Amino acid sequence: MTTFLIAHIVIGLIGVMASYAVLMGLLKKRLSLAFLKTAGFAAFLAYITSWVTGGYYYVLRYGPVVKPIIKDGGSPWAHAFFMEAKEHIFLFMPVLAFVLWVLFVAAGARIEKDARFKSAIIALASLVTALGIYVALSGVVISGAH
Amino acid sequence: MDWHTILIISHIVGTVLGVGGATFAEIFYLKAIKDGEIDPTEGSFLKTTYFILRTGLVLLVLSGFSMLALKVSQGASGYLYNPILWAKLTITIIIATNALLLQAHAIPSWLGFSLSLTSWYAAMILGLWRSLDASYVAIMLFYIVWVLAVGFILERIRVWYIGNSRHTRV
Repeated sequence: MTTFLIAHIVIGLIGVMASYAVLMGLLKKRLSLAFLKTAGFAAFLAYITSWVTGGYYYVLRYGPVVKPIIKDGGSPWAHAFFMEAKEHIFLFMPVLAFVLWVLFVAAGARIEKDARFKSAIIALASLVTALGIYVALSGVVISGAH
Repeated sequence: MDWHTILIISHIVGTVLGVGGATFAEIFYLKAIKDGEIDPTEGSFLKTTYFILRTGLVLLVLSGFSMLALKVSQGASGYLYNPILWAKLTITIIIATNALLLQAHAIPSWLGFSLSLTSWYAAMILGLWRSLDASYVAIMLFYIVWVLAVGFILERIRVWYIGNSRHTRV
């Protein structure tokens, strides 16, 4: 079961770093569409894999064993706020990452030509990265609560 | 060699690349702007240095979180509420955000360079100074003062260095 937790953490982190790479790639003067497509797909793949491994760990270990310990312990807010937020935000992170990747594949050429479109994509990539960081830090808070 | 040792080595290598990269980025940039423009060779050196910096950041973050995961899996989770750990996490986020802001030219260069240099040294010092007994707020307040002081000193060095080189060329 520990393997699933470690896989969830490390692969999720790779997803956050790939999202960050997408954002960095979008801010460069010369866009590399090939880089954006690769990093965008890596982010999507990492989030979906981290989601599956995390979900498996949640159902078999966190829910029945860890959650009751946290709720009865000294930091019940760690579950009530951070875990509740984390598990709901994580539901749509692979979807957001998928949307970004599809935009690069289907409308990549438009990014350099249309400034408003590029700004919207930068905003979406910023949101995915910021949520990824929040979810990762929430994991640290929750892990420290038991 | 066990996983913990491999992760410690990776974490140290990441920090070394980051601290070294941030130091040389500042030196190369200073030398590059001496004549008022960055030529292709200077640009290439800077690009390589920034690549090393990012490699250091990736290694640092991956190894750092892997160590946390390993500790949690071994039942040592009390460490996760340590103020030094949270100061290091905050500073790592600042390093990453600062790199984005510098790339987007959305931060004054004196502050961006100071944040980069100071944050890497701060992360290294916090990693090594195990006996430090300070609250999160105290560490971050000291860090902010340090960023401003380093920013001021770097700007004075820049003015002095560029002024001197222009004077020498005349």
